[in-house]
Amino acid sequence: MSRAVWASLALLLSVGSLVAASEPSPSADTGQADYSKRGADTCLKCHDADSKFPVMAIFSTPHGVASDPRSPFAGLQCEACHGPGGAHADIVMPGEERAPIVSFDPESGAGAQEQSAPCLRCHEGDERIHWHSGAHAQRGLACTDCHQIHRADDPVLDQARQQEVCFDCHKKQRAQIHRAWSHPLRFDEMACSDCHAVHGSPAPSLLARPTLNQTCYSCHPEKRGPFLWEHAPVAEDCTLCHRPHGSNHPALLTKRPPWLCQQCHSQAGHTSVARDGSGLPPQGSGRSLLAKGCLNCHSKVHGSNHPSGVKLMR
Amino acid sequence: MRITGSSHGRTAVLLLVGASLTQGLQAAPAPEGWSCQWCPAPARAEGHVEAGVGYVSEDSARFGRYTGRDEKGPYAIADGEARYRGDGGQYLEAEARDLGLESREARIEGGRQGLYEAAFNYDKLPRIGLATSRSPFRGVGGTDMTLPSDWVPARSTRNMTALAGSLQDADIAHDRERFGGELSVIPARNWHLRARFQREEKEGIRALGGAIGPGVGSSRAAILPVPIDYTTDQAEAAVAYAGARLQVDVGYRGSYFDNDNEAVVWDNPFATANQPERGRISLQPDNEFHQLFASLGYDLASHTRASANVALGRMTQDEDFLPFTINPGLATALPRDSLDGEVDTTQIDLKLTSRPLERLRLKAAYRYDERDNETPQARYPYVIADALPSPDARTNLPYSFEQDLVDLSAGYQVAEPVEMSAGYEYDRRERTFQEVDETEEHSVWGRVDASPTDILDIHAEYARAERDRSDYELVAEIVPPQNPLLRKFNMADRDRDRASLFLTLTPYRLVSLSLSGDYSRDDYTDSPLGLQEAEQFSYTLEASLSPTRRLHTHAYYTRERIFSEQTGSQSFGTGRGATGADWSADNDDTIDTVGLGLKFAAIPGRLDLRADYAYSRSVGDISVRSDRQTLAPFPDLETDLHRLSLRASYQLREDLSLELGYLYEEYDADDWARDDVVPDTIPHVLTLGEGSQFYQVNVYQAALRYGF
Repeated sequence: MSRAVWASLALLLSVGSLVAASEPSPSADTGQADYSKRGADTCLKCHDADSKFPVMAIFSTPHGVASDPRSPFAGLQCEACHGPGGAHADIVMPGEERAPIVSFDPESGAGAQEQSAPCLRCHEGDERIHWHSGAHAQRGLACTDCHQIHRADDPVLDQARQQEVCFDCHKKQRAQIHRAWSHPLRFDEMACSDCHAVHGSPAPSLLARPTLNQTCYSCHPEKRGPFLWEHAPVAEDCTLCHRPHGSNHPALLTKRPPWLCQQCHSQAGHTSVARDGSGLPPQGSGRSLLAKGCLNCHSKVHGSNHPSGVKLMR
Repeated sequence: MRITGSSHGRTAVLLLVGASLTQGLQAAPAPEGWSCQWCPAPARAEGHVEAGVGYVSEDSARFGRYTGRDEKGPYAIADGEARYRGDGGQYLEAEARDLGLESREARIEGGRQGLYEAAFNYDKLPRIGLATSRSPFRGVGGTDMTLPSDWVPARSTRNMTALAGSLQDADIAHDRERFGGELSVIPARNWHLRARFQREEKEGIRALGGAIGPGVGSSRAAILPVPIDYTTDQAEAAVAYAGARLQVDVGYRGSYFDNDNEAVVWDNPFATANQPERGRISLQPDNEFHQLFASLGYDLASHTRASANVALGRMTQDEDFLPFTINPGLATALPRDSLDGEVDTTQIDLKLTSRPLERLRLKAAYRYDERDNETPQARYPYVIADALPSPDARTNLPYSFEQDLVDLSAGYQVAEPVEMSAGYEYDRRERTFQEVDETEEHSVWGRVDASPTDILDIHAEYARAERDRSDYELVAEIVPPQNPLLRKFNMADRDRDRASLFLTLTPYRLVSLSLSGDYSRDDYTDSPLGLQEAEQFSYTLEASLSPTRRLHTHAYYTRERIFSEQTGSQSFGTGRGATGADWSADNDDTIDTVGLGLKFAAIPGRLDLRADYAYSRSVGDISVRSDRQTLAPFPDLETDLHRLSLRASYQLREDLSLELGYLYEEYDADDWARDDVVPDTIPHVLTLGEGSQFYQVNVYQAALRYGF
């Protein structure tokens, strides 16, 4: 083949490789092509532990391991993510503004897609395959809105501190975990990511498993069944009866028995009776109101495998 | 330095092909001369250990529910973390938390980065229950619970003369302990193999209602402290490929639940005439779940990405059936020895996201979700609560569900600071053995995201959904029948309106004010009985102020109101046929939450202070009304929680700090379902006498933290 054909092919592949990544590369954004003269040595002269933007902690993270060929420090070092920094590293005269570099500061003006692109070049596999279609990406979040790359202990990766990051936006859920009944997030014994695949998920609400019920079963497998006598709403959707982020009713219920149950159960007799305050001590002692309410007798609400358990009492 | 490749020729093509293939997981090579002399030596060890003493001022089961700090007295503070990295990517990390508490956990991980990694973890989570629970049963924790030999059975708890003298503490609590391991191998560039295993052992006692006796009028119940002795193994193995354009993740996950106890047998405390001597209730049967999953992502041209996910699962359960009853006089033959229960699950998700223009964003998604219950049916001539053969045998109803969901949306940046988005969703669901075969829901929504000035961000969204059902027909197998006028809310006609608003004002870099709120209203448009409407409204006001780099403060207030109205028919079945609503009930919960926080570097580099306060108050108002009778009101349900946390970290020297902490929690509740309910409060239900859990607890902590 002629040199021109090879050149054309090279050009085609160049374009192809640019298109292949759905995001523009940092260098394409900045229009810069000059890398610094000495790589990280250039950067670290200024960005030491005492600088406004200290970066040395990155060497305590997987990103700073040069022996891993996948790591930024096995290649273009700082500029693997920040793009060519030659202009940024140039000497500036007094009063002159330093040339910018690809920054992940939320106030840098760069779009979320542009900010996430360097990360996704390496981190688009595994559980991040569905990142682009997930709610976080669709609502314009960048990886660095939640992650702190230049820290040895990124708070969002710590079970005890992750919720602070999530609750920055999810304010209603922050209040809900303080309810009388809630999962143990308030005690730092659970993290949002135990149930939510925050990097994208095919399931609704970014759930960690393909369905809501499967997500719940990962910690509550005894409710999975299948049972001989299934309770239809239980098999369909746990949140028909439960509020997973917290409730002021026992067992995270949306409301208390008997009214919770009476939304669907209307048989003649005790099921349909209008329960009122006369059923409370000292004047009354309503068995559908006190203690476990309807569950005093119909206790197997998640399903029964007893041959006589059709009324969920066995 | 400029990175340049060959400008033309074979070399260029080969380089670009290589780059194209390896872009993704392979870093571009460093230019010549980039030695990184300023980088720290790869081999390093760092970490910290923290040791000290804490003191809890009061006993409180509720306060210590998930940590084990439920008893007054001292406890040990022991935490630590160590990381070692070698020259060639070898590493070892060990972390331990709360070693002095019941909620302790530890993890150790090591390997060679980029080649293989292995990890082991241990995690214990207690769940302490209601310490005031008391029961007359002996053998609590086992599967055969008996009453004391001097027990005097009676038709009412109030006539159980031996009850008071027989009550013993029943510790309703359990522990979860998890042990697990992970192995991750990178066999070749872009490939990743991973395997995980976790065993969870859950042991303890829970409260379970045990009904006994024939019919509603003469049935009785006892709240039974039944054993929890579960072992659940979970395994996952997957292979993943991540190239520049194509990413694939294929694997298997399984969950295997084993309950050591099949059933609990108990002496009937009400065992007088017409009441059986003993009852038997089943516990959760062993079950398994197997799932194959595959995810795929592919970058098409023009900033377009396709992703897909397929998950095929099977839930099985085949534990031997118990007899119909423990009462030998009522024994009949079972139609089957076990259920042979099998449910096949299928989820298929296809998604396409595209940005064909810089300002235009498109998304299309389709989801298919099926729960196909293949469990065989049979007729079961059951026995009512170990007391009476049912006049009607019942056939089990293996419920199946199917959902098709189409989701289309587009966003367009109409101006630099304004993006307008809109979407449409179609949700079709099918159910078997239920009143409604099919529901269809159409939703539309619109959203504006705008930053009209540098200091203001606005996000506003409104959505409208309308759901219609096919015919509502009673399920013949359900006896006695439901009121034909009831419409179950999850398959009833429904109009839903949702709106949300988020405003952030940042007048100065160090000051931020925000208002966020959401509102939703469900209107059940054709439900003579059942849920009529449901409304939720919440808003949060938040302010943060950082007057200096040393001081960060924030405050927020959240109110959430959850309201619903439902109707019922008490007169149904009185000989007048199906009757419309003769009572209605409102459930109205209002929850206020206040939070304050402060972080202060009092002496930079030496003394850091942190304070957090949260207050949550809930009021639940239940109001039942009837035109036909006078109904007594319910008192409000109330809970109040105060939590104040103070922390100070004083750097004694570069590698040693003193960590001081103080925590105050106060909780109170007015709950008519539990307050003043002692074991014999309900004549026909012998309860555990669970009380509300008021507490005021102070926790003091002092520890030394050594960093290396």
